[in-house]
Amino acid sequence: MSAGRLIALWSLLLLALPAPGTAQSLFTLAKDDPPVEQPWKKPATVAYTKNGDGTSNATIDAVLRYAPTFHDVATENGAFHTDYNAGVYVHRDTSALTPKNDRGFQMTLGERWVVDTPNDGPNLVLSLNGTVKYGKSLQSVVDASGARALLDKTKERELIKLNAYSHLPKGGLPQKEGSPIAWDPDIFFEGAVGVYSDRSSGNSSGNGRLTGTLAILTASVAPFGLTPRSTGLAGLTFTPTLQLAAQTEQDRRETGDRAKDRYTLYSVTLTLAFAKLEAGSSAVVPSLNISRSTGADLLTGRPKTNKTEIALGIAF
Amino acid sequence: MASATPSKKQVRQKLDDVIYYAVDKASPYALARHVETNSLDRIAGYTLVELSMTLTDVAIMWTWINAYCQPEAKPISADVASKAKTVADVRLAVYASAGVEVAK
Repeated sequence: MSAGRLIALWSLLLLALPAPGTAQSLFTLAKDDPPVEQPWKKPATVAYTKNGDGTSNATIDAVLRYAPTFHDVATENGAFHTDYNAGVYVHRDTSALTPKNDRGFQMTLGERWVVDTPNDGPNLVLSLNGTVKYGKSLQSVVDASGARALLDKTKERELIKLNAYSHLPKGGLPQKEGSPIAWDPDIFFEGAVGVYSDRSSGNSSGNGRLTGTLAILTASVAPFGLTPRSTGLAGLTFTPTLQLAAQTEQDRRETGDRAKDRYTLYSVTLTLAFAKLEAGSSAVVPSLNISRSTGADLLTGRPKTNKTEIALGIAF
Repeated sequence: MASATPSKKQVRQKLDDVIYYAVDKASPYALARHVETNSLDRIAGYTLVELSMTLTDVAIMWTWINAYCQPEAKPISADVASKAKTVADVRLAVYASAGVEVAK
């Protein structure tokens, strides 16, 4: 039995079995995996369009996720939290211009350890996460004669990461929302080291497996603290945050016709998060996010490139 | 020999101690060092953001509470936890899970 089939069987088994010792089991069905830090989830969508020329196309965007919550365990020098989630996804668009057909599953197992460091010093949490992804996606390829074709590519990926997070201690007393701007920095770090294995197969070039190691370091600074500060404008507060991130992925082994490489990615992101000081206020709330990144990322499929992204939003 | 069942007051005291320790651990402020913030009642009115807690800090707080409030309180689900914006909300959620009321 191939590794892919074994993994599929494992995932189905976990989906079918009740998790022992769980406090709560939860299925969610969404259009897509939302960013982890966003409090919203788009619903899954299925759309069918009949065109005037007799053609039709359908789109499906759905992620079904099973995420049980485990009991946390107290130990002599900290607290442990274990969880896992598993899910299947379908992203399909049959339109002729931009056909899409991604389907597969993902499973993540995680262990978080809150270390009992002194409460007036930096806090520390260590976590170990393992992720398995297996799926197929439609990719546009060009053959030797220059002809373009759409082919199914099978992607399989395993990733194990050890993460560390720490928030540096602050002096003084907490400030209430809407207090005047003052130098009161919050500084926190996240780092990770890990190993990955990425296999790609299909009826085109670029088949084989790359196995390697990665390291990630992120430092974030909120110069006025995380408490929303008064902007001086009626009813509006803001929280500026600057994030610097660096990561490197180094392929150690190669198979097939894929070649070993090294990928580095650096980014700097400035976020200006505005908020209404009072609920129900009629103030217009802007948001601004500016990001500059350079480099490549094997695990997200990003080719080596420089990118500047500016996102401006307005909410009422 | 069966152990005596703790009174509601004892349960509240234990839960308050754990919640305060968890909030102090997760927040970058040294809350216990200042007379203005050295008890749960004195920090109850602060939002978690005002205590400079990131989402990871909030996860640290809930992990600690869920681990150490047992067996008096059941673990707080992620759905309920995400609705707690202030320290008072956190205490209400834990108390509700333990079946005790906030002391008048």
